[in-house]
Amino acid sequence: MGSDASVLQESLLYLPAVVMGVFQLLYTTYLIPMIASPKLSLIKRTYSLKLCSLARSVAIVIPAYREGFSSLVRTANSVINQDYPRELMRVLIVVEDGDEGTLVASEAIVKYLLSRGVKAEVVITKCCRRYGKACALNEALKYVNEDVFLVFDADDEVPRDYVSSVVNQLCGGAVAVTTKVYREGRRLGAKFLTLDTLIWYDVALPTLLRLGGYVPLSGEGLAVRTDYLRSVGGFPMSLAEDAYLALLIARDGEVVSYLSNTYIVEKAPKTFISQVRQKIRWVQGFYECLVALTKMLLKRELSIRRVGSLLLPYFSPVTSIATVVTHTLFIIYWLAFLLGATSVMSIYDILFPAPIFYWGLFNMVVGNTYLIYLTLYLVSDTRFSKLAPYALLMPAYWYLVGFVTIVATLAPREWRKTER
Amino acid sequence: MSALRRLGRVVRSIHATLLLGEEGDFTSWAILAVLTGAYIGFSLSLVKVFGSTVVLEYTRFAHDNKAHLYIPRTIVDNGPNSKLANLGTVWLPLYHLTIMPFTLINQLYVTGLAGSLINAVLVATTSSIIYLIVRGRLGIIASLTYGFSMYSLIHASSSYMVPIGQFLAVASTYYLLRYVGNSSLKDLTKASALALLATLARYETWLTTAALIAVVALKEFRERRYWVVPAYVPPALIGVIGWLAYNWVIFGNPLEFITHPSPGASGYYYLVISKLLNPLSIDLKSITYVITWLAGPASLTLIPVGVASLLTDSKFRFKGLLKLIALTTPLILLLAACRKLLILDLPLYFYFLAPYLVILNFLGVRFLINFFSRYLRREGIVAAVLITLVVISFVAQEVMEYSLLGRELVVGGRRYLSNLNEWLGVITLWRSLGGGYVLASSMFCSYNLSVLTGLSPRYIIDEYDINQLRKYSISPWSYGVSVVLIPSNLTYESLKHYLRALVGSNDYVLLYYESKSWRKEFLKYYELREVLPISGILVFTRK
Repeated sequence: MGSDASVLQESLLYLPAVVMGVFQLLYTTYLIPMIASPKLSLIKRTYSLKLCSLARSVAIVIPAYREGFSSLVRTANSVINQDYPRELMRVLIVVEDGDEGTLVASEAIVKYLLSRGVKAEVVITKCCRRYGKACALNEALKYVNEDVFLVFDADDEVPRDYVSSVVNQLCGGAVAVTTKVYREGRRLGAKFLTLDTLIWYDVALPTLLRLGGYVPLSGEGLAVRTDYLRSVGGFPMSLAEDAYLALLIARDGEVVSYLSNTYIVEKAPKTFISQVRQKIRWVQGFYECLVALTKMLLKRELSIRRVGSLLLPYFSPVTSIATVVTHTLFIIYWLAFLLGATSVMSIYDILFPAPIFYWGLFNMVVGNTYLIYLTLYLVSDTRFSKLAPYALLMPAYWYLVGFVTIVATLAPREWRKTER
Repeated sequence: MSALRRLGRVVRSIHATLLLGEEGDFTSWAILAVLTGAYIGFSLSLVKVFGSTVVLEYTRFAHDNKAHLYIPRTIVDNGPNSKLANLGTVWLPLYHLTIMPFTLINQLYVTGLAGSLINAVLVATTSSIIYLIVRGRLGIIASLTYGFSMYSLIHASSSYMVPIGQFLAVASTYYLLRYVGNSSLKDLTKASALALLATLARYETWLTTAALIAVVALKEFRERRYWVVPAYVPPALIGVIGWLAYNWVIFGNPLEFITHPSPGASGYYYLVISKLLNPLSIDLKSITYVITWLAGPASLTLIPVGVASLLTDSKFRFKGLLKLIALTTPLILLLAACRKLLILDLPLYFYFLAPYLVILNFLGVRFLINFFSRYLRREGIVAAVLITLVVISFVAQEVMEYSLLGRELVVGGRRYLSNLNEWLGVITLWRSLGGGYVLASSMFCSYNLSVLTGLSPRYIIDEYDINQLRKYSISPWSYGVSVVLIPSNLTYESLKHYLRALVGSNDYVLLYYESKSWRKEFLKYYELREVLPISGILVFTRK
């Protein structure tokens, strides 16, 4: 009995080193594709997509919940400005029953669109609170008889050729088309969010797409072939229905196209709290996807390569937690060094073997420096250039995001509306 | 043909990777390929003739090769004392970290190729950057002028740590010049990232980084883009801050790299600062000597022309001034060119400046060609005459330099082989005793013992095992030390100050010479087996 206890004690002593090792492995796994991304850009994935006639009808669905006229008009103008034939487009604004303010604004927008020669109508739904957006989109699907189901959000600023580019990709063989969505705002948190989305859409997603062919889709500007969407039973009832849809497409071996040479600009969340709520929803949605992915893996419905490319993004909340834990440990260590608390430092010597400690240090110093430069490079010579000084504070932002991820892990699962 | 194509792809890939995405053109790839081939060819011929490129250390033109091979290996192959702190404080860490994995392969370690292969690629890439800066046919001549300089050949074939710092500094300057021209912040990001890495490679690059800061500040304040400076400049200083922090954490003093008994390259700064207080005329002779040797005699005229040429165009005078700051700031180091350094071959220590001197030289040539062609309207003839003059001046200089190298290699090679035999003898003795530890000191022999013979640092107790060295020094007989290496009386006199500063008064060498009782006790257990005449070392073995 006594020897069992001592074995257990010894094992517990190794536990921090093992956990730290796993955390570093996770962090490095994320860092490698980032560092290798310039090299990976040389890999060209070909899907035998071919140019085809643009005669495809498009349903543009705008799920609206507590939206004002000004938010909706921004998206409506984007639709009007499209270079795609107007007779082939129809706008459906999905409004929750009882959301009077949005209903009034939507009706005004419908009139505005009709006056500009774009077919439009309002769809009223009675959706459950838990899966707000997925539910609204599926309600809209019942009324859609067009070839393409395209989702825009309120406050989206979409380039002129977006619909035609999307249709071109779809009729060339892809079942879904996604693009970059930069979130822009004036608040400090919004600025960091813009930089975060730049890394996500300009480095992480293209790299993963090249490696495995599949990435989580983004709801804004997401276009799906209507027949395919019906065949999978509509959007998955998940907190991150767009990201989840990628799983189903990967399972079916269909093609996802990523429009990397264009982007949609969306307003960033209105307040810090709203931004936190959005992050919590994403994290919880990714956890759902992670569970589903594991199930598919166990049922052997997905190849290892496809799992790899999807696992990395779905696993990002876990890595975020790993980052916050590792950084906190190093901050304590350095504080102990500055205060001369050698006893605290000696605990580290016992708990973490030198290779693990150095690995963590390397990841923290080199990883953060690399990400600062990557962010600087991405914003340089773009409309976001003036955000460059904020790139230096990105490590602090990611540190905070790690805490939000911990909160998201513990918080109850429910649909949280992002107020912009 | 397919092999050639594959080689081409590899060269392009190396070019683009090292220059952070700069694709270059066929000429820049060709320069990279030809020079890398030439340098590796020279390294391999040294290995074939002498067995190692370390032989270069026995000439006047390369130093510290053994230290640069030994230190990286101690980080990972020093038994329980394998640690990052073995990077020490004398030299900046980047080169040692870069070649570290290669030093673990004994064949590359003993032949010195672990360092030479990396340096060959780096020096060749620096040549390629010179072409990209000067451009055109003159660019090709400029890059080859630098690339085939005897000093480039030696640095590219040795394990000297200048090439990595030089490459990073010149690459950073290249992007800085592009940024001055096109205001592209993407180029500035690359310049800043390369400057960061450079500050971790050579102390001289701290000056080029200062130039980067000055250029960015001047340009952006003039253009009222105030936010650019706080965004792009601070990351370039991460390396310097990191180095100070490392010194603080490991040695308890952020300025340890300056106050250490052997301050290494940081000593330059002392000299430069002290020289700033002297009248320049006193050192002009030394500066002229260095410039002539590194860039040919014609450069004494052409460099001032090159400098002036940047400021002649009134339309772009401000941009010219910024380019001037970027290209000439490193030349401040020439102030250290004085006989005070007590170095026989002075230009070796200023090799870092060679690319800058060559670039300024050829900017001068270009200006003169343009100037004369405007007035004489015989561009071709003027160009031919000027280029011929430069080439003759350079070739004549190089012939002299290569003949010097040839002579040095004959004499140095003999010394190297004798030295090698001495240390192989020590290894034979060590093996006959069944192994065990060798008590040595990096101040006089552990580098030789390990690098020349391939003995792993884990068997050598020296300053890289400082706690063990202090403990074993007091009673080596208690710790399985089979061989003890002690410098001869004469060598000891010149070293004792350093040994005391590095290890303390209980260093075994100090005890041997200063403590009669310790020596008596020591001789009870150890006997003098050999005296190495070239190295000036006494070899004691366990009785």
